Amino acid sequence: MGQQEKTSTNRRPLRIGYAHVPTGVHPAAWRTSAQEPDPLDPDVLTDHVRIADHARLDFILFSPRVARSRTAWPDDPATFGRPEGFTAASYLATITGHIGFIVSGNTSYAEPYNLARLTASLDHVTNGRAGWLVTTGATDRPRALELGRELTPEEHYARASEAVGVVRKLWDSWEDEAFILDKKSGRYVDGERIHATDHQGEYFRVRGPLNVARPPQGQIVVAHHVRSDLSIDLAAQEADLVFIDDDSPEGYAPVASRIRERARTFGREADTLSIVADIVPIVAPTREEARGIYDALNVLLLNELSNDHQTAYRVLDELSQHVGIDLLPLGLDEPLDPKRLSDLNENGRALLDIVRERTGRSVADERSPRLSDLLFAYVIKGNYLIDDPEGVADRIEVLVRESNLDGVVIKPAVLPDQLEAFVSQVIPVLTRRGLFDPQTQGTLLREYFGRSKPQNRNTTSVSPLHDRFGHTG
Amino acid sequence: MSDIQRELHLGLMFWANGTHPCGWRMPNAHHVAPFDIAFLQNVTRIVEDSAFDFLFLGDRLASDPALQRTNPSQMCRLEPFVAAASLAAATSRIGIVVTANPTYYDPINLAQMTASLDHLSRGRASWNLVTGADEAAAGNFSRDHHWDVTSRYDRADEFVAVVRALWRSWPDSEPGHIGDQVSAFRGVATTPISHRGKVFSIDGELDLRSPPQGDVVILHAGTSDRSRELGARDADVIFAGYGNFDEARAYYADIKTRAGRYGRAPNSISILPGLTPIVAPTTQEAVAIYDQLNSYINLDPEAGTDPGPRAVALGGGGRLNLAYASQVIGVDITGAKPDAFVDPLVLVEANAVGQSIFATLTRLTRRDVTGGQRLTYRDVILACARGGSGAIVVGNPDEVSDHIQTWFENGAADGFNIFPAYNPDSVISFTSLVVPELRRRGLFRTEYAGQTFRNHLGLEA
Repeated sequence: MGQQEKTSTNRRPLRIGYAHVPTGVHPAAWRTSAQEPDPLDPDVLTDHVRIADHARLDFILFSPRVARSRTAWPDDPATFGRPEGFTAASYLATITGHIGFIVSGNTSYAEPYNLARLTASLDHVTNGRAGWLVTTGATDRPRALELGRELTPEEHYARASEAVGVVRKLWDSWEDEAFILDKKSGRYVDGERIHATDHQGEYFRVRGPLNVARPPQGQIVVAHHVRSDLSIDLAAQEADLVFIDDDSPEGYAPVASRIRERARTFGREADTLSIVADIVPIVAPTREEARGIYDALNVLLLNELSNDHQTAYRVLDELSQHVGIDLLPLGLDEPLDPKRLSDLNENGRALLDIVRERTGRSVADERSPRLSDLLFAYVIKGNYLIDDPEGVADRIEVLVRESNLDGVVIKPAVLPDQLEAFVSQVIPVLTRRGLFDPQTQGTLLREYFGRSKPQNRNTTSVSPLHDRFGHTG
Repeated sequence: MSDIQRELHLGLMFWANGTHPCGWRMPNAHHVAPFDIAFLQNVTRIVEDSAFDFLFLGDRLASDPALQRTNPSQMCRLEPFVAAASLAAATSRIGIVVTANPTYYDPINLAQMTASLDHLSRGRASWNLVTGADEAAAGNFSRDHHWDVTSRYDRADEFVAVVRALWRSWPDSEPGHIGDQVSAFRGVATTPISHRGKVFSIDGELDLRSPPQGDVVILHAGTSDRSRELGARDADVIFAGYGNFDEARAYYADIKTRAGRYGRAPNSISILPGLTPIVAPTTQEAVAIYDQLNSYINLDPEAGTDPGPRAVALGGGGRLNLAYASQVIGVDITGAKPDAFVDPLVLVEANAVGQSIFATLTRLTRRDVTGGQRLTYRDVILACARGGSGAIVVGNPDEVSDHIQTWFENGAADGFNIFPAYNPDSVISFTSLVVPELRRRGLFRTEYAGQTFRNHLGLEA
């Protein structure tokens, strides 16, 4: 089956998630108001998540802080305002009604028994809205702990793969019918319906059973962020949901198609795996206003750099090496000389493309890019979609179609402004176009992705699933 | 006795199905409790309305269906951090205690989770540090065997030091003024730790600012020498298991003495024994509740005196039969009918343990081997099998308050961790009957004085 065919003939609504980044993903986001809210304040966190919940976005993603970017500048201290995912999601569980919670759990530094407890418990308190983002020590900040030695990336991923298998088994420890709860006879559970795990693997030995009842979803949504060939294999084998990101949207299509290809070689049906890509939308009623928001954010950084010659020198030196021409004689506000730009290497030309995408300024245009534009294209990472509501919707539509994606993850540039702007301005356009459906089917996060609750692997006889705990799921 | 006005501290030992093995079978018990977060939130609100210091979430890292008879609340539960954060969302003042075992945890994860919970709860988080006496956990964590006390405490000692250092890796937890901006971040630098120890080698800092309490409150429980040392050095609250007044006094004095050797003031560490109050408006009604709870316990077959699986470590006690009871009291009572009255001669012949068990039984049930209200062999079987998980007191609000006051004023307790036999009734009866009496006696606060758990405990931030 042609992948292209799938999305063009059967245009399913997109899955739209929200990645929680304290104060917003742009490094100047925290400076946009005189008194910025504290992202660790539970009321602030609640306000932000409620915006996404009320808009019926499919999920919020809590992922760990990742290593710093290539450049040491600009520093973004707001990244430290990141609550731990399981506690944050559980805090929000009973004060939200719809949104799923996908939380990272690192298989290099946590045992599968603990990961299974955390994820299954989160699924209970959210009535079936939990997801687990599998992370490994290969991509997280390095932290040599008790592993005795640094694991190779291959070992980190082998460990992850085994851990996911163990956790999946542990989730099935208790059959849905295990609870008898008969006060008269005193039988609380049926021990025959509680199953040991008896896992003996290369990295883990886990006897089981889990001490948490089967999660309402049965199997919780397993997600993985693709960052390398090794992670493509893990995603293709184990993940229900795959996150991809790339410095440029052109990078999405080949990665997505490789993941789907690998999944096929592992014998998986195409519709059991969803791929979503990060975007950073900046939206305003007009394209000019949207570009103005981006420029204004960058000006805040520029002011800092103007007062810090040492850092400015260092950053521009690094950029010069990256693009292949010496930029140091130039002032940050000076337009780039078109003649010299012909000497730019491939990196430099890619940055000019990013400048044009984000700001509309190009060499061919009368508004020639300035040195600062090139610099920000280099240091401000992310797939920025800067436009009016129709324009952002167009770009999402193109991105999803051309890369054969199932949806996108919004990383707001500034919180809450750009989250609010996206849900109030872009979501209605996507809904009108049939690309987003606020009436998601089902109540389980699995169901948002078109999957039903699976049979427990330990259930021998098929009996109607019922739930003793009054979960609405 | 000190001249300083001491304040009684109260916590709720929140086992969802109650701390009595058959609490869930009481007609009013909410028996589908362990995964019903709305119910758990409601019970937490009840004790918060009574200004309890904290709600205590225990943990166990294994499961076994056999526990349904001895201890169903320990068979399955929500993971404590997940439960705690949902409870924090439903409350605003009560401290929330999460049990986590360093033997099976990673210090960075634990520091992040406790700090995060402290932010989300605005300074109400607490970590109950246990090292795990439970052998079954090893099998779930890729271990060949259960670690001995020395290995567990070697790791725990270093673990708690690392966690404390990580909590402080952000020196300023309050948003500060920088120029014309109020900023939670600007100008605040981290001080990453660089720890090289026998067990851990760690460089790094928290992913989030230091917890609002600075030091998250630490609880500890245990009786071994290593445990007492850890508690005296690092704990703000010690949860003691003694049900006997003299033992409790000795333990209390020992911990406070050890704390002094670490340069700590005696009142900087609160010692809270467990207490199971069975309370009703009248003594007679309270005894009836106690008897009803015990009536649901099924006795074991007579063959064998070995304790059941994991029973002792979990407070489930020994075998529930006459053979085991005979062994405990030193009198052969096998062959007796469980529902028959105890022969007065049994008390005469009983050993010291047996004498003490009979005295306790009479204290709890107001029944004796003679007189109008008589003990049965079944009473003896249950009493012999019961493990020590804190004292039980059965009575009217005055009688229960007397017990609390006596321990509190005589060097045995700074407060109590209240074990609710069944939920939510045991919680409701304690908060509606005993708490008002404790307040009349000037022993317990009428409202919270501060916002954080450290405030409730009278500790500096």
